[in-house]
Amino acid sequence: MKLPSIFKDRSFLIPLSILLGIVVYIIVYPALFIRVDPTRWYVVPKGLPPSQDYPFGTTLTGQNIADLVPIALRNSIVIGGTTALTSIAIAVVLSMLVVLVRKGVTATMTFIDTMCTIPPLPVLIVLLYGWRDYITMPLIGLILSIFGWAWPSRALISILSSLRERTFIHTSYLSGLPTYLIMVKDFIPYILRYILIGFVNLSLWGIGMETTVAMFGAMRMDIPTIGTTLYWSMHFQAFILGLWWWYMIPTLFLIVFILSLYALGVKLDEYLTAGV
Amino acid sequence: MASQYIHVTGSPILVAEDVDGGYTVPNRGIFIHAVDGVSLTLGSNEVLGIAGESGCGKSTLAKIIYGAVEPPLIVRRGKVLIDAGDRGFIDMLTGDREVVRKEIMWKTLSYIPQNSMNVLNPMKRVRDHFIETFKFHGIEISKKDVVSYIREVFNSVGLPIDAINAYPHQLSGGMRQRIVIALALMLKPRVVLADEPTTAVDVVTQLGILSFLKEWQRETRCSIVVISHDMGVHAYMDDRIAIMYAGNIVEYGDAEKVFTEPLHPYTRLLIESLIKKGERTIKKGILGSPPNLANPPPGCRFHPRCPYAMDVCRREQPPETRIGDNYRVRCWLYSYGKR
Amino acid sequence: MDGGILLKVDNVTKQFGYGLLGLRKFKALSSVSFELTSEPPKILVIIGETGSGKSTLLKLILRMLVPDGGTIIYRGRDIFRLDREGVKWYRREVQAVFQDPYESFNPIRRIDTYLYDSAKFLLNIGRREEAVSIIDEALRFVGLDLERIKGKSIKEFSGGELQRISIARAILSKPHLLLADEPVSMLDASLRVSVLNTFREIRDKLGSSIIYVTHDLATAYYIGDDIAVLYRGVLVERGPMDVVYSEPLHPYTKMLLNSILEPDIGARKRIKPVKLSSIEISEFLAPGCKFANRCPYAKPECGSREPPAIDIDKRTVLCWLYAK
Repeated sequence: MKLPSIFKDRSFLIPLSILLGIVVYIIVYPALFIRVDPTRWYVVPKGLPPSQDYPFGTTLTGQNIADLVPIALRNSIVIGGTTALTSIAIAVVLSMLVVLVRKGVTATMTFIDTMCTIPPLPVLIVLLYGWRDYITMPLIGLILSIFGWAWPSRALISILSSLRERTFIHTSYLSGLPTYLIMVKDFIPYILRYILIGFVNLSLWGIGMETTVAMFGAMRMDIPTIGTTLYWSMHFQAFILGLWWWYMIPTLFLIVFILSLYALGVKLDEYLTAGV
Repeated sequence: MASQYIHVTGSPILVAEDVDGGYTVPNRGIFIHAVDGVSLTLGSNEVLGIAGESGCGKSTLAKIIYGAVEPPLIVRRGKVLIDAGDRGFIDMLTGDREVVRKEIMWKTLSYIPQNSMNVLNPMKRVRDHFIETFKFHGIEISKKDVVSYIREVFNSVGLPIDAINAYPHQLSGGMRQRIVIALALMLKPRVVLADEPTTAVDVVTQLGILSFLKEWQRETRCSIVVISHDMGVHAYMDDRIAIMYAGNIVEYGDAEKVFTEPLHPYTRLLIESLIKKGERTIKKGILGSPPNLANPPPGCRFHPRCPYAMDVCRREQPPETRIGDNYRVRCWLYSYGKR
Repeated sequence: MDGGILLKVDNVTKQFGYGLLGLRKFKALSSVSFELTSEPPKILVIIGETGSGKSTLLKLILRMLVPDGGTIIYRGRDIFRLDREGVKWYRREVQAVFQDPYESFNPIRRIDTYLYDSAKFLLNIGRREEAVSIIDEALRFVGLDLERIKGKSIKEFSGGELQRISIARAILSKPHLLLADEPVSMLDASLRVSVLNTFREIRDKLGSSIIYVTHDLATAYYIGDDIAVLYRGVLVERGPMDVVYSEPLHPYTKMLLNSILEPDIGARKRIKPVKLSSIEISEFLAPGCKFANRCPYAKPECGSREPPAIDIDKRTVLCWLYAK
């Protein structure tokens, strides 16, 4: 089987390898190399800069950052991924229904616009803090998607509404195609790129939201995520004390992950729409 | 200079001299030879038509004449000389960009594009388009005068006066096209380049616009170049006409002659395939399709479709033959003895 | 079948909303009525400029929209009251070709899939091998064949070829009624004639009637047997092509005929100036005859009361000039 041409493109392979590297780090490394539970405090010597024993240094709470980062990143990614999946699923189903049925489009759009204008942060802080005893990573993702579905729905409804009026949709209709097949053959290829971009953006939004909420102290602080890690680093004055490895290294990993995922998304989108 | 060109009534106001250009496709080494050594002359106080079907190069020629040359469009050789009054003749292709933008464009030479939305800024109201164009060309004019000019022109093209305050997207396509025309004529240019000015409008609106342009031309004695694939438009507007095929001008002369006694086989077939009013007899189209300009056929570019193709047609491109003072045709049928 | 009447459009009205909340209504089509007989098959040309309502009328006949008033009867059945079997039947019977050949097909898909789809969903021919002969036959009718178009995407075809493929797809189910919305306006002049001739052949060899919508009167005369003129949603004049063309009754029809720009240099002198309009909602909302504000013959009553339909000499015209 011939490899699709995209695999020969360096600007695709580089972010892909970075992402794969991170995935290995967050999955394989903990399974093989972690001896001690990295979420427990005061396990290793506090506040050590990166060295041979502790390649990423240690925190003032006595945690090994090299062991902490994969767990934290994994949790953040799960949150982001759940947010994205749920939000996109809601958006796709809702927008297809609304566009096909044609009734209540304006009312739905008004509702969506309202959801878009409600500032998510205060609501999320209250919800997450209120439920922090029952919290799991996927649940955080679900809560975040309460606000995540609005914007992609809006975009999808606009796109699908104009797509619906295009002549080739009439041709499909006249060819006798049932509605679901028109959706699959004509609609989905066009919105696939938006779903992809939406997925990437929502994951990033989810992670960002979680980080922000955590820095407000509204999460369960003993669960390591990039957000909680940053919270503790600030709480312990890492900035002033010069313990740059505590806040920079996790953040750096997050940024690299985000950028690679984004670059991957852009390349995939380019590749998928090359023919159009 | 005048001796090289077709004798025109009045002095020449715009001269295209051996213009050759096309589109480069990057990374592929392909050159789409859209304009193949074209020369033409526009006299003052006349309407010249450039006719041809899609892919013949007329839009490319229009862009070159207007000086809108940017990659992938390149001009390989040639001059486009325009009579800029006191400054003499300026070459649109090599002249000083500042001078061209401020003094030539809109003032001496104006362009009516095919798609009105290319010109109108969706963020500005209609009246601001007018006011700013005046300002840009350094013309001091009171708002009152601008409004009265607009009122006059809008009236002639059937636009309601309150369209002045509208944004472009609030108006229909036909109305926008008329506004674009009003804008182009604002500074009373001596040459107007109209590129498919009525393609997007209804037949009655088309007549209104074209008859307005005719009136305008008669009153201001300016010159208009009408570029269109619609031979009906040419029959209505043109004094002289140039027929383009695959990048060449194949026939060029007095419009009445071209329509009543076309010489070039393509012109003949084209005119014969057009449906005239009150016609019902079965007509024939032209077999085949226009050539790929990235790889045109050898010799005369029309020979694969020409019912009169001879051996020489397949080998060599025919030269331009002068027939009388005012007529040129590019065909071996008329170049006997010139081989 | 209802006495040989293929299609009966009966007092059809369609409104659309405008304004801020879309609450105010204007009529895109006002009480439009006409009939199309089936023996012999005919080409009815509907002439309309922008804003005439011709696209709306087509969509109604294709059941893509539902009328606000009146109804449409095809071969004796009300097309808006069909059951599922009836809808499938209707889709076989009534097909359409659209204006822009490049927009008529999804660029992501291979073009032959449309033909196979039509065979499968309209004619229940699910297996590809069985569909091949029908598809090839339809393509040959328009001067192409399956070998030539197999597996290709739309970029590999010219506008003229795409339009012919579009026609082949439409005639696959041997429809009795074919709708064509400006099918040649986006093609080069030299290519139009062959496509127009194809429509004639569809009428003569397949026995299908055709409703051909255009704004180009020269083409209309070339191809039409009957003509109906639409202006701002009102069918102002209809009748046999020859008669309407040589003796137009309605002032708008006269204006249209006058505006034809022929490729004939002598015609210049014959063309009279016209009064232009803008397509504003106000023109749709005006009481009385919609053409009154541009009509050179307008009388006082034209601006206040809508003219009745008057039958004169094989034609029907809606104009106060002809009322007793």
